[in-house]
Amino acid sequence: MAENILELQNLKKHFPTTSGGLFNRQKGVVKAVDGVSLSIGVGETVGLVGESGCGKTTAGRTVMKLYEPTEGKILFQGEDITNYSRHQMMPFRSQMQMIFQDPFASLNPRHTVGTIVGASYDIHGIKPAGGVENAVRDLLERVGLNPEHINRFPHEFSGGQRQRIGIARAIALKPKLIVADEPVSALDVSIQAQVVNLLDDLQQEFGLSYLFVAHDLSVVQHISDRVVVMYLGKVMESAPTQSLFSSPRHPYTKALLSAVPIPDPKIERARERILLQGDLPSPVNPPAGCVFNTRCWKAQDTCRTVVPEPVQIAPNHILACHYPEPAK
Amino acid sequence: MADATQVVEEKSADFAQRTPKQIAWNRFKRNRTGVVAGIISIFFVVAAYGAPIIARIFKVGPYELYLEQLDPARANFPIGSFGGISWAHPFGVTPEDGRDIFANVLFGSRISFTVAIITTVSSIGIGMLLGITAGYFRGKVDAAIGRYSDFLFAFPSFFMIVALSIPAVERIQKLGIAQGNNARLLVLIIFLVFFGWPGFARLIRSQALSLRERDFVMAAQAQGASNFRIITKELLPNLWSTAIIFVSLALPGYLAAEAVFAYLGIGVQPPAISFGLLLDDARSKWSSDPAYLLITSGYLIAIVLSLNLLGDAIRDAIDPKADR
Repeated sequence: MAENILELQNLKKHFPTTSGGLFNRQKGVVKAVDGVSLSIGVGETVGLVGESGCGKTTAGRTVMKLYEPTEGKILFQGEDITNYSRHQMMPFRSQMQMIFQDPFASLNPRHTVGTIVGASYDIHGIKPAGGVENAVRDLLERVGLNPEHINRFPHEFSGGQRQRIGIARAIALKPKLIVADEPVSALDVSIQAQVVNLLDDLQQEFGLSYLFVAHDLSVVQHISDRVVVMYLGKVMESAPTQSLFSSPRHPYTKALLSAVPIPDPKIERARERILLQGDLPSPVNPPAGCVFNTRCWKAQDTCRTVVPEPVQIAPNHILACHYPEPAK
Repeated sequence: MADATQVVEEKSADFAQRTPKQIAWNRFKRNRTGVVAGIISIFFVVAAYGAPIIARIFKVGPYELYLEQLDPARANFPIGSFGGISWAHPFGVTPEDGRDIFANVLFGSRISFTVAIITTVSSIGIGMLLGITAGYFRGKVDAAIGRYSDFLFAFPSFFMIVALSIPAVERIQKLGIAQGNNARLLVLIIFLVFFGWPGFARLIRSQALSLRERDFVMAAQAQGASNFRIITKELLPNLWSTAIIFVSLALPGYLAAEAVFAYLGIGVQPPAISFGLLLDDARSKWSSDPAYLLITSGYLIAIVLSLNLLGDAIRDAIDPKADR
């Protein structure tokens, strides 16, 4: 693999919780992202999965510097952008873009499609050859929308079309990295496939890298080269998609995969499913030791006291577990 | 990719091409009370600002004394029923000095409208600026603006206006900024705006607080937009409807407030004409000529009522939650 487009080193994002009232004393911290390390190569798609509230969206937004990281490092093409100001970030903004989960909230209802998609040119003072309007028309056509709809408002489009508008906005400046925050989870399944295929096509055309945040494992399996499994702000396991789905080593990964329905009643009835007990613990007060120990069926005393360190067990396969599942 | 485009195109045909503005306008047109109130309000505004022309058409003037309409035998009470209503003087004439009430009401509403419009626009300007600032930046800025507006809310503003208006007018005259009635109006507007913006700022702040968390603001940040751009391009277009609703509801309030303060002797003074002064005069002659008071106050009530009903209709039209 060539140079990494993005590298996170022990990235942390903690949100203070305050008591409210007059003095706003700090009561505690929500450790939304607590030491995430990962890397994304050029043209690679890394899926970031986990259940709701595990910090995957926060991780994506911190990468985009929409949240100031608490600790750790963000390297973009080898350059440390962790503490860059808004002005210092400007050259990078055109190279990394974001696609949002909710296509109804991510487009300003008062702007036309042309204004939304063309905003990047305006912000960065870039004058594309042939004018902004032509550039926007090309983009709309590229994402499968009718370029004649340039003067329409977002509410005139369906969810899938709106998501295409969001994608057109993201690729306007030909970025190198796109953080896709659950880009298809708000869409119908039939539309999901179209949008995922569009993302695939764009990746091949522009050589994009994706950080694909999702909770739908079948979508992740389809689009990702590598998958990072997060639980309560920490990385549990990260491996190439093929080996992660065929032989998960972390109990949590195994449990997650067993929740994916298989569209074959015979297999579906026969296979063993792992039902996790209880809820995700509060990230304000995470359990000692391994954060997964409260729900893990294999938890021993070591798990309740000693934090498992991430270990490389195979090329590109990193695991943080004291008692991993046997390799298949 | 080609058939994907096909599918998308077919689907879009189902979607009606209506902008939020058109939707609001259609909803407004269906509200009969609102349409009637709107037409009447326009009529009142035209009457106020076209007062000199209209008065000339009716061949009446606000300062002319139509003494021939008065009956010396009945202590200069107007000749004819209902305070001397006739084709020449549609609203009658005032007792004792014989001034045309119609012309006076028209010219009086002009000052009231002017004060109301300037006050509303200024308090919206200040309220919008500070409300967005507080809501978007939150934290210490929000706390400072919030506590300051709390302070203004808790302040006995009415007594402050009554107590300080005379020295304030004197100061302004001494500084040579304005003289006479202009100085009095200036002081009144400054006081009304000073105590009027916090309500609007709060409203806008609450809206800005919710808007700033929307994904499209985050998208703009991810594109590298400056705070100024986000406020002007992303937040402001979503706040205009709130501002329009506020205008339509605040305007009649300030219009009545001007009349009240003129009545209390804080606004303009004679020879200027204002609703407050007319009402004061009518009140003193109430027992001998009730028509004078009824017509003058009736005209003011009609203006305020039609503007209020128009405001309600606009709010119903713009606010999607009011959709049935």
